[in-house]
Amino acid sequence: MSDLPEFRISVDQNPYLPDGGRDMHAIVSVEARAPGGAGTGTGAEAAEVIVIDTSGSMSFGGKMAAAKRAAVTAVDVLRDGVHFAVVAGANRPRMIFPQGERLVRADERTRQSAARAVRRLDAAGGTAIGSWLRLADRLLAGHDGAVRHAILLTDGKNQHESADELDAALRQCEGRFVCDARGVGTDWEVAELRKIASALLGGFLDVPDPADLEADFRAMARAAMGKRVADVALRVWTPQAAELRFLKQMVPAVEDLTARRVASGERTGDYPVGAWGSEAREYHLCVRVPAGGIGQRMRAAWVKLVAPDGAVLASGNVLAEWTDDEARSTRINRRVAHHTGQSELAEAVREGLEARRAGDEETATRRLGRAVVLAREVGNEQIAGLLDRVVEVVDGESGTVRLRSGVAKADEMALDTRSVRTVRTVRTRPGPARDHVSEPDQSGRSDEAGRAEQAGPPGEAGS
Amino acid sequence: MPVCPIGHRSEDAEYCDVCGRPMDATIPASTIAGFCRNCGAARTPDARFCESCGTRFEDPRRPEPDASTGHRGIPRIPGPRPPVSAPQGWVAVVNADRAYYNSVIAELGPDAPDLEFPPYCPERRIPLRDGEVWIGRRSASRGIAPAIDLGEPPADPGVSHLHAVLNARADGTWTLTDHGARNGTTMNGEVEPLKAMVPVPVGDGDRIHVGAWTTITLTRRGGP
Repeated sequence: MSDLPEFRISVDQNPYLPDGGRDMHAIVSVEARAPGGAGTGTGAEAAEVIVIDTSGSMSFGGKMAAAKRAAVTAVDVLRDGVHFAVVAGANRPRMIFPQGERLVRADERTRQSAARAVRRLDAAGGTAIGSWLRLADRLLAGHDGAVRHAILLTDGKNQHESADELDAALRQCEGRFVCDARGVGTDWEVAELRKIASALLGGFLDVPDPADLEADFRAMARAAMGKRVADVALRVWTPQAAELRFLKQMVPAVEDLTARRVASGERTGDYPVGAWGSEAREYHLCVRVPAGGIGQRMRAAWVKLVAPDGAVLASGNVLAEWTDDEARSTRINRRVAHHTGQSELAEAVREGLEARRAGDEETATRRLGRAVVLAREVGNEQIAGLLDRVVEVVDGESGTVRLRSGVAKADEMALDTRSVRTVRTVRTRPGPARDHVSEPDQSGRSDEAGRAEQAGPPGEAGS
Repeated sequence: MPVCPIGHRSEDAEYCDVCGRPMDATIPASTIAGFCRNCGAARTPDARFCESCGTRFEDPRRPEPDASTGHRGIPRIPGPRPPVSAPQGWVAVVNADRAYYNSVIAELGPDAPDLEFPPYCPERRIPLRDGEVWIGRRSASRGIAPAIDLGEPPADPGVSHLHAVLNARADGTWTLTDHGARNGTTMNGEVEPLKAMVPVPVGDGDRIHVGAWTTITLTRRGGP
């Protein structure tokens, strides 16, 4: 691919460890700029499968009509030459366009034929998402090397196959294509879509109002068209006897990648991060190194972004130096602190909501109260606003809250879904050799990058 | 291929591929007694186990250089390796040395442990067949078998398992290196012990004192 984006990795950390210190934290920012800007341009070879839930429940509340409009809009965005298909999901998946089990090249004629086929769709039947994903996998299988992407829309729980069947399908599809998942209405399962999007390296979002689907699909398809390189991996080298304690994607959303390590050498592991266009993501890594003597320096981790052909797109060093100067070793890097707070926030929200559903009010109050404090600390105003609808904040400083009664289902789902979406730290000084230069974003513009990449809906949930 | 400060081979010229140390770093030898051969972590002089990975150190005061290279002049641990040719005709003559014993007892003073000079201790003559000859005490459990084994009866209790090492040099002469032995090594009746880990040249007629009563005299072609 001639128009590979230009990648840059920068590392934020406090490289100083106290005597005996072993855990080194760093924020690794990866930024890609496509030549000629972020427009869709000619882009890379791409293959797109759009999967629309057509189960019986879709016929209520105008969901089916909205989903059809959204699918047509997404097809419209596909540029000429992209291979695509539209699939209807029910108890079994069904090809809508083309009719055979294959992809076709997008052009004026195929886009129109696809639109006509989509408009004829009717809602009937159940929900078996694993079987839908398996069909998408078969369709995309012949397109190795292309940016392979699927859009999945559902409005219900995965009722017509077992959880094991879904898990098996996810294992089959993992690493084969990227899938963004959307839940419309309030009858779908947050944990289920989270699992799907997480396994398939995509984003997931709630779309409570069907009217928002169209814009959301347009943005998702545009983002997919903007991808320039597929199947990128983060390759992390750590020294002998060191241990990578965790590697989490932090921007656009919290995603723990630690367990996805695939060994690629004696001291290196690869973590798949999917396809890239012009975008920026941030990762928080923590490596435990053997303790060194005062004055000793070392490379604690070496992070590289690698293309599927093994080409190194960018690299950055995480360093460590032991010092007896406490002023240095105790200094906290702001971006590390910010992202640590956001990880904890996502966890507190999830645990609080789980406890609330389980009827454990004490735990729910405690965890959601903690979330209120953290949301303020990291300046995540979207989550703060969503929390406000689930709990009544008595004292935001201390995190004293009361659970609200009669919380709208959509509000709870929005909070659950969006708890992993983070706000970016803003750099106060440009340049790759930054040290402690970031400020939490206080502007309230939440997950700007996440929106560009993952195409959130235009309206906030319930607002 | 470049070699890092503690002896790993590294393709990267900036930081070691294995341990991550800067390739141009200097190690402050005063603060550390060496490195764990398993994980490369620095170790303090008294450590018996690596604080980092738990590897047991063979001798608490002995550094663990990387087995693949003999870097920074640290003697290697005995083990399979390409033989170094020894200059011809050298013999170590091992004796229980009454004069040295007396000086040890005098230095220890009234707190001297119960160290009996052995009533019978025949002279032993040990040819130096290898380019690296260890002075120490055999330990089956730790797989230590020094060529000059002072654990043979009457065993000298003051000798460390890996006490000191004789290394042949290319010009046919020898160096002696105290390996950080607990009771040290002296030469030619001197009181001042050798500095640990610092090789000193030795030659025909030099007397090496170790343990409670052992003197090893280096001789060439039969000697005294």
